[in-house]
Amino acid sequence: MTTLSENGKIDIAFTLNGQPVSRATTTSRTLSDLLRDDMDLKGTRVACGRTVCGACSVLVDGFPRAACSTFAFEVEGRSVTTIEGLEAEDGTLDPVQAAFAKKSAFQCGYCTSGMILLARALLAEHQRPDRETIREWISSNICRCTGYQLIIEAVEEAAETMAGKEAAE
Amino acid sequence: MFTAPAPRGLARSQADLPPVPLYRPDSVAEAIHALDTAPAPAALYAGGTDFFARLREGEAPAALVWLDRVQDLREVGRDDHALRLGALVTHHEAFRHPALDAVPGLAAAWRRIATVRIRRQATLGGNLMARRTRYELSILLTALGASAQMAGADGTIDLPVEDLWQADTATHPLLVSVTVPLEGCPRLDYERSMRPTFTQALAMRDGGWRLVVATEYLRPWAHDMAPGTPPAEATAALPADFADPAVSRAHMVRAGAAFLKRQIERMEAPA
Ligand SMILES: Cc1cc2nc3c(=O)[nH]c(=O)nc-3n(C[C@H](O)[C@H](O)[C@H](O)COP(=O)(O)OP(=O)(O)OC[C@H]3O[C@@H](n4cnc5c(N)ncnc54)[C@H](O)[C@@H]3O)c2cc1C
Repeated sequence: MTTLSENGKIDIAFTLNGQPVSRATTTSRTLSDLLRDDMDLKGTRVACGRTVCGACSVLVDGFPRAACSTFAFEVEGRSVTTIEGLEAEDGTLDPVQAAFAKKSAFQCGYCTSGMILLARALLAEHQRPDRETIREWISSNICRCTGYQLIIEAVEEAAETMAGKEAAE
Repeated sequence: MFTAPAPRGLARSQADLPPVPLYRPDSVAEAIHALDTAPAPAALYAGGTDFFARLREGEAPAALVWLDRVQDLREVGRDDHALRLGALVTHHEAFRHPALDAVPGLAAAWRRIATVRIRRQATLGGNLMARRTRYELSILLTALGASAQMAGADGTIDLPVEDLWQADTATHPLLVSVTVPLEGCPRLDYERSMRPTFTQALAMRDGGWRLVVATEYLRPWAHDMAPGTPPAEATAALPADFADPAVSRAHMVRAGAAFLKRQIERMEAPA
């Protein structure tokens, strides 16, 4: 058995948006608090605080997880992508971000970073998802403004862009 | 009987949990040892999808025992007599596993639980051991007459899944696996269209049927009956106090009988 911490203090190392990082933190620190308060990555939005709404979704090894309900120690050795990690270095938006902007797939925007990361994971698993698949995935997160239709359209748009890019390559 | 939930405490959050010792066992025996030696109360931590809600509701563990490395809890398998599901199996892993073919209808019912994001993280063990009436695996597994293998310092005991609600977990705190007996070729149908108001599972085996009715607030009610029992007769057996503020007993007797008729038709239709 490994005793990861006897006193509640713990050192963790993981990959954040492609860069290796390490931090001294505590066993009760959530990933959302670590990202927002200790690393100043405010794009991870906390709403329900209990796994349900998905506004705070980040990708852990490519799959969305509610950062509010993930302990920081759980990402040791893993790869975390936040909304800040999607944009290219020259400022070019990721195709999913660009599609959300083009379709105005947000109203208040609070759920948007989580929705974009959720859509990113969906398109990694299904390159040309049908509507039913998009609905099934998107219903993992909550948009309180109920802007789901535009979100679905943005995902379809992003899928098309990404498929077009792949064909051109 | 319905008991009103306690008024919600004022804005407790996960930030209220102080840093606590953290253990990561590699085996069932190590997990039990960690629970026995850690500062009390120690909490088991699996997928975490329910755990943070518990913190917000006031649970205050003094230590965490993180189960993710306990490989024995991840096993899924079947032989001629039983289907065995490890406690750490996620919903996503479970409904896709070929062993579930042993019980027609189980994978289809399991697949409808929760959402894509939650299904990859939430485990069977957490669903049962959270002991929340709105969670559904207890309904499905009670219908199938499943048993739970609970580990403690003096070994493992077997408990019917329906007894987990009131089981004293002090001596045997760790759910290792769930076993579904395969005698009589069980198959399952789950009617979920009225969720969360009420849901209904029907398991058929050679020689006996089992109906389970559950609501968001009431523990599942199980009823064994002879094959061919008329649906109205089956749901009329609901206990007199089986009702909550969202649904009356009369409604469950009436609508439940209509659902049951359809469930029987679906299950008896030639494949
Ligand atoms: C958005 C959302 C939607 C959901 N929808 C549904 C739904 O439609 N239907 C449904 O049935 N459920 C649903 N759930 C509930 C979900 O299935 C449970 O939260 C999940 O299964 C709990 O598993 P976990 O591994 O995350 O448990 P954790 O959160 O890690 O633990 C929950 C509890 O179980 C205990 N525990 C965990 N593993 C063990 C073990 N092996 N032995 C003993 N104790 C243990 C923990 O100590 C804790 O008290 C939903 C949850 C969310 C957040």
